[in-house]
Amino acid sequence: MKLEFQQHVLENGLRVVLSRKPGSPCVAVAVYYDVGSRNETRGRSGFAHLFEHMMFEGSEHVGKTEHMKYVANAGGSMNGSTSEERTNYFEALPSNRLGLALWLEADRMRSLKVTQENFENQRATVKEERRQMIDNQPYGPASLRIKELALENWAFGHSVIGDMADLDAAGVEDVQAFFKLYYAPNNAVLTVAGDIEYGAALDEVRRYFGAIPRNEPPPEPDTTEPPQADEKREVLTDPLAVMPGFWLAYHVPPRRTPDTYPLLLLQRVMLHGRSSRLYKSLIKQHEAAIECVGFTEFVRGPSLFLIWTVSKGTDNEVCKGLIAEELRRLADEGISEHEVQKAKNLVKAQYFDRLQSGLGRAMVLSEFMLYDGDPGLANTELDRYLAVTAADVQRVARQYFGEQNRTLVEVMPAHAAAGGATS
Amino acid sequence: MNEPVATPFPTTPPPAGPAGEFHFPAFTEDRLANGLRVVVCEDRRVARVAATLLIGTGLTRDEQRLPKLSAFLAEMLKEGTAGRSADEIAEAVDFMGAELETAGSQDMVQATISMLDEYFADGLALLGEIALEPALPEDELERLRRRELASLANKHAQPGYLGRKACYRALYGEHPYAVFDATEESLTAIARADLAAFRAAHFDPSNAWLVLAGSVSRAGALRTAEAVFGDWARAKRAAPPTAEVAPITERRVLVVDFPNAVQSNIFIANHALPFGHADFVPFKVMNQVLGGSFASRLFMNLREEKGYTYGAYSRPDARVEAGGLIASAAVRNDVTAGALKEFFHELNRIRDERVGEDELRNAKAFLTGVFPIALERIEEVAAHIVSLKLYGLPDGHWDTYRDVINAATPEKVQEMAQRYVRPDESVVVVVGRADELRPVLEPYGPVVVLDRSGEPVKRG
Repeated sequence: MKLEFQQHVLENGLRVVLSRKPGSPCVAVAVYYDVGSRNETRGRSGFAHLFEHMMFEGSEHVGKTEHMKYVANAGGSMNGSTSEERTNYFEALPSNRLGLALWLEADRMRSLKVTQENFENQRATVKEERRQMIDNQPYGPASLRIKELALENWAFGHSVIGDMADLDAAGVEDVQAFFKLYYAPNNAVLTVAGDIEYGAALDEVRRYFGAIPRNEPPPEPDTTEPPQADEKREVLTDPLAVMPGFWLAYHVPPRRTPDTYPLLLLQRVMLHGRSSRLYKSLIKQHEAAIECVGFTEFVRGPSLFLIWTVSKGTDNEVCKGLIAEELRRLADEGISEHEVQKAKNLVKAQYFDRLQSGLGRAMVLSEFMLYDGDPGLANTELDRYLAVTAADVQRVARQYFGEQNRTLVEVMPAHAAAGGATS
Repeated sequence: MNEPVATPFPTTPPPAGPAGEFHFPAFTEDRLANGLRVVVCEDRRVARVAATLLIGTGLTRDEQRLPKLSAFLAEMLKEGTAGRSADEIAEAVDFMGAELETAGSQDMVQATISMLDEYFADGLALLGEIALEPALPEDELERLRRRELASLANKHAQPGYLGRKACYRALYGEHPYAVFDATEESLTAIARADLAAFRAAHFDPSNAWLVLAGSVSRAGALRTAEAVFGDWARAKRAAPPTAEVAPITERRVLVVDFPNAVQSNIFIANHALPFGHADFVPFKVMNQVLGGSFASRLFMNLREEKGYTYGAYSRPDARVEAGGLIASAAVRNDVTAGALKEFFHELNRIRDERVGEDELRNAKAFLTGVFPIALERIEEVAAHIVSLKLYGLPDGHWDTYRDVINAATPEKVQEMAQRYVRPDESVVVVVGRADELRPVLEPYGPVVVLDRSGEPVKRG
């Protein structure tokens, strides 16, 4: 199952990937800008994401809220998202509306319009997003604190959603400055995937994007992180939590470096599915946790291997001990060929699952183009996972999971909440 | 220097080209000797297969006696069979890189496995094994009971969960659909005998469908299905009881007290219609105008104009025998009154005013356009076929679905709104700080404050 694709660079520096797959009369368009929360400045945390919201609020030929309406009224869906290292915008539409999606994306790349009123509206929306996802959820604040504490690097350590005070301090003038700095064709990747003809699609891309001027390349973000000398710890009290929980973070190398492949397989072995080692130990055998999940965030900069656990009982001691024991067992005793094969099968199945939809294909191609300069990795990267050996997994288990490389954020419930709060 | 001749940027979007052809993927239905219907949709766009075993249970009194017994049984299916332990099942699933999911509700029990096509035969054998030979071992049952009890305690810290639970209970009253989740009592009481009895009563091949979609042929699928499910013996099924949903005759207003809340979670629900009802598709068109997506009235008003919320929507809660319409949003505390005003404004407006031609055309374009996009995923193709069987719809339903959408007129949409949007006969549930919410909610009806367990709090 190989993805068919073409890649082009327009004169203004816009990197374009086209990928044809007939069979469904659908097309997906994704625009990835090389800007995320890592590019923010102190005092303006959350701004890249707030800016993403502004991209739906109007441009020269598209009025406020019209972007959403154009797409929906054409029978499509759309969204945008912001991470540490990129902001993406995407549409999935009937294939006969490719021109509409390109026109909409080009219009806001060339001529974002910003008003004080729209800015205030979206600032309020983002603050509600933060309340809904973080502040009004048990364990919400801890999910941000772990990266903040683990990373000395402010660019990668602060949250994507941002601090309320920083959101309040941002001004409408910041929006235009940010747009000018980061939203240029030479800082973006455009991918079109679906039921397309290459020649016609490229013509349309050129028609809408070709005349947008390039800009000075933006400054590089800080990607340094000093080696961690000692374990870091913190305890948070959470008024919404009913059980104790904790985050563990381990420093790991950045994206697509040799150790990231065995580390991802290690994550699957330890944390994916009911046959994973931590599920079997913490949830099945010892019944010490009700949840134990893990994430690998391999980015272009300081990266983390994260584990989140909700403990049964009154503290986290049993769960912490069991996780340490499983990590030690993996380091000392290694892993069978069968278990490595299982992890590879999982990675392969998930990889192909993502390629089912045009939007999934557009995202995979965009990521490899933007981060690595080579969309062809979509067809070859899987082989690097499949080449990992049991010895590789054991080696990274030994190398990265020592105590001095670890950060721990514990959450303790504030049971005093029963009496009610005053405001 | 000569300036290049630049084509000016178009001021309007390009018109649509000719629409691509789309037909819901064709499928066949065969019956095994024991009555099991095997539905096969050969769709080779991706090298995957999704397989669902659907068992229609019908309403059962067990669900009221032991809330979520069916869901507990569905979960126990993965916890051991005659030939494999729970750990061995988990190991087999993960080794195939497959997803195995089971679910139980008041209407059905189902198990779904989806995998790369190279594992089709092994995956289907595992699906058959967990459905036909579950061991329901006592030790795993006790473990699951403890896990579910702990998880239930944790869910009660989530305002959205508390709101939905109170909303379903008030909406469906004494009807089995009022059960939103298991309770501490049901989780404590469920015994192996209850699970075995439920299984014996409902797991009957003549009341079940095996739906297979993806890179699989009809002949190959039937052969494998016969080998796995051919020996499944018939069960004696009693006719399921029926139940009526008691009408809501006046608005009910409930507050779930959540003293630390920084938002109010608002739910406004009323009785609507079951999924299989002839009105359901035009009702969906109406709901698309009202609150079905990011381009609908509720989102545009409460988020884009007012900035009250991250998102406001309305959605059908459609079941086999009845259904509801639920509008919801999470808003910051100090705009709760304004948000309620706008919700009721929109709920009344769609009843009172005929929808414009443009707005209707847009709603239709959205629903017809996103349909083939969702069906790029083979799991979605299987799920759409399963829905035909569960809700008793004709096989051609998805073939004509887009035509039925396009046939909706402004008159029809208003008729749907007047019939199925009923703000005066609704349940209003708000999760938040009761002391602040009471005066805000009193204009909408007498306020009853509930604690986190859903029981009324005495004032004083």
